[in-house]
Amino acid sequence: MKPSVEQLENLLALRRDERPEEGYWQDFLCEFHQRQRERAVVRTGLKGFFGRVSEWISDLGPSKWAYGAGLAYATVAAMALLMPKDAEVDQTTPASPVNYQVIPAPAPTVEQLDELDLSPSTQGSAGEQVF
Amino acid sequence: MQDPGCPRRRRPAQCLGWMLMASAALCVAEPVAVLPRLQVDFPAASGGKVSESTAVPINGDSLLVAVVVPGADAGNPTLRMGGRLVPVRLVGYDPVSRLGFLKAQDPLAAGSRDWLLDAGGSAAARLQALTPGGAVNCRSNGWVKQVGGKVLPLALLRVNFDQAVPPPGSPLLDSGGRVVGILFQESGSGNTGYAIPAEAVHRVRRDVSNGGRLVRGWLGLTLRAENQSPQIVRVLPGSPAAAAGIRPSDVLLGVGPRRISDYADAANAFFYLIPGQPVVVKVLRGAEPLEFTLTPAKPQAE
Repeated sequence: MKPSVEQLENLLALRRDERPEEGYWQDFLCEFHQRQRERAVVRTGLKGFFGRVSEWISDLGPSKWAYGAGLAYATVAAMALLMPKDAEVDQTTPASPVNYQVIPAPAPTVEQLDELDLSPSTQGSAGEQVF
Repeated sequence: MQDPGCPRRRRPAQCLGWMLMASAALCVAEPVAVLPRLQVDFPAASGGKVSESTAVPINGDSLLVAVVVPGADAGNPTLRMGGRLVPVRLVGYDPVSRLGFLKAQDPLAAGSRDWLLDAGGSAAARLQALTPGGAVNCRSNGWVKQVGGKVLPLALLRVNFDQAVPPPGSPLLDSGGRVVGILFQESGSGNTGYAIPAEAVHRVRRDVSNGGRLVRGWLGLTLRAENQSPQIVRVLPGSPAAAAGIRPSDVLLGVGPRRISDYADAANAFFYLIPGQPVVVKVLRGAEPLEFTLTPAKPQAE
């Protein structure tokens, strides 16, 4: 059955009423881009990282349990290798305080020659001299 | 008439200038050319070695002074003047300074010189040493008070020579022809030697030349050789220092004309003290400089 002219006019009038207002599509596009940027900002932080990791794990399917077990084993092995050992303390030596004694350097030996004899083997007299 | 010493093309004024310069050089060199060579040989002591020294007239024409190196017998000198043996005898010898004083039986025509008794200004001066081969240019280069860790009984002049160090006893003359000192020995490094100042030679001559021995004035105070500061350690009771009021812990600043800055300076100054001749001693007590006049005595042990 062919629509009548009146039915067509009514249908066109209805379509005109459903048409969005001017600027609707522009606002829609702006809001879409804003939400896209906010989502990108959230994904760059730590939270986004964990989010991406959890998404990745979720995407793995049943093999995620094998990955998890391997990661746990590697963590335990690394801890066993890297953990420092306790320092060995010799308990047989009794602990005693260390004394530091400052000993002044000996004064250079200066001798008084009694005679004008400059040969290296000449002995003079040291210490207190009477004049 | 053409002077044969002047080339034909040289101008007369230039020749005259050269002649004047040559005359001036001869005048300057004149004081070192008149002394004949006086050589003294001392025989070796037991286990020692022969000593050879230049002798220098010190008082008139008959008294000479020479250096007796360690290991030589000072008692039997042999004097040669220009290669000719001259009868001579030892009239005094000081083992401290190792100076021997000789007297010739006959007056020598050697010519005596003036001695510069205040050699303080000669510590850095151009000098000439009289040697058997002629005059040698040299320069005094300060005082030597200590060799290694040994303080000398008297300070010596350090002298640098243009050539090899002359033999001991060689006189050192200043620009006026006065004897500033006599060479004692080589230093052992380079062309450097040590010289006994003229004042010390005359101080020794005063006591020794008549057969006596050197007697240094005694003040009765003690210093420690290893102390850099010339601080008096003790003042002996009954001594000239005690009588004058000098106290322990006073720091010596001067003895007579000599300034004292360390122990070696003090030892050198005490070498020149003459018993009975008053001397001004400057000390620092706390922050106060004081002056005392002391009359040194003969050492108590003598």
